[in-house]
Amino acid sequence: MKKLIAFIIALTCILSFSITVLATDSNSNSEFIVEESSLNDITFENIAALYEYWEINGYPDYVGFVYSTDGSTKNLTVLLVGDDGTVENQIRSMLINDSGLSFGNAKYSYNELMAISSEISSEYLENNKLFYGLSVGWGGVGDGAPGFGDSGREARVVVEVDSSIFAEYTKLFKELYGDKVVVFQSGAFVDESDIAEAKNTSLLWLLIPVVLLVGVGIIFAIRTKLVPALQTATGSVVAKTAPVSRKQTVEAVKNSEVTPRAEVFDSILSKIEKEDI
Amino acid sequence: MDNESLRNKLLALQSGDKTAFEDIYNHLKTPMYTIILRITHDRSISEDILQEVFFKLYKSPPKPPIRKPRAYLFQMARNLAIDHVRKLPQYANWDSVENIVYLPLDDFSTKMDIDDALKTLPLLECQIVSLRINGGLKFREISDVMNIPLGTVLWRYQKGIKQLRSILSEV
Repeated sequence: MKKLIAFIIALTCILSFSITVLATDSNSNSEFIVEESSLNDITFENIAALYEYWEINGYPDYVGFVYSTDGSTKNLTVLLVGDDGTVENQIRSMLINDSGLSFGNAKYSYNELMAISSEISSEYLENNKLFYGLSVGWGGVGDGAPGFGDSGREARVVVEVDSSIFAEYTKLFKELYGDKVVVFQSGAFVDESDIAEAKNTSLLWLLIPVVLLVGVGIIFAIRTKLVPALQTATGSVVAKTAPVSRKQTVEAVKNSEVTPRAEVFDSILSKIEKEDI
Repeated sequence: MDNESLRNKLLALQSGDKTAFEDIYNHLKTPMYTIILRITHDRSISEDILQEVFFKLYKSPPKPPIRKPRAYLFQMARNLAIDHVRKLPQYANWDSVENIVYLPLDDFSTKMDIDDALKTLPLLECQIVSLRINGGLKFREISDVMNIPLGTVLWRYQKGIKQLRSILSEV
């Protein structure tokens, strides 16, 4: 099961990568769109071949997401946006062998989500180091998040931010993009709808002791499990099996910085003097 | 030191201000050396490259307008480090040095640290991670420095961090 999940994630990641590259190269979403008329003239051996074609040439706007049902590219589910069966038939007619292909519904086009992802990247991600991740797909399995939508298999723009800006950006992205964007808080999955529900509840006071208990539990877990897993270039050793958060990973890379020997600057000055610059 | 301060220091350097040169060096020596080291994985060679970068900088500081001085200087360092790797005989037949992995994943021991974990990343990802975290560059600047699409930078950064996270969690 773990292998299947890993494969699905890898598949979605590869899918994200290909489209992102196309988007960046072109600076235009139109590059994503495969001409439907030309598609009708092409025949593919099976769904794996069509998937490969989409990977290389870009996905049509009616595709919401593609995922594997068994860990291979032979059995793929294609989620379609607003299809009444026409596109499904069209895709099947393009395949010589349509075994292993299944369909589902998606609310949003993958291309649309990618465009939003690009916008968030350029407008927010690059200017704020408290943004830890941005992708289009499912939530991270390690964080316990499933896919999205009614089927629990749809993709969304997934943003991971530091807890200090979580509330601010959850609100902002909800206003700007609705449920197309889901915000994670430093590795912990939280959906906008959860926040809205929490705000509306009149029994909030009942939750406070529970939250406090859970909070203490989380802090205990973090202090006893996560912190010893960090490793720096100064010599401490990773010796314990423990989950490491993305934030801790980034900090570990940052803490691994190495300073050159003091003699290096002297050598530069000496070289400058020698060449009499 | 932000880009504006760095720009002013570079302008001062152009006017022959040696103090500005030392300020720039002290500000950038650690992140720049770290980035070079992540590419070469050799301290001595990395120091030589760092020297070369700053010697070149002193000899011919960039002329204004310098839009992104930090990215400009890291690009100099990165290019020299990549050139060095490219010249190594063991990588002579590689199509792209960016695909080099210094430490295969199945090689790592139970005492792998963050330095070893970074070696398991393809050189391309290792550079992106280091330019972002150690160099403090924006993703778009990294895209310019490495001459690859922004989407690739974003994706490979996420992939790299995910792999590091996974390794640090498993050892």
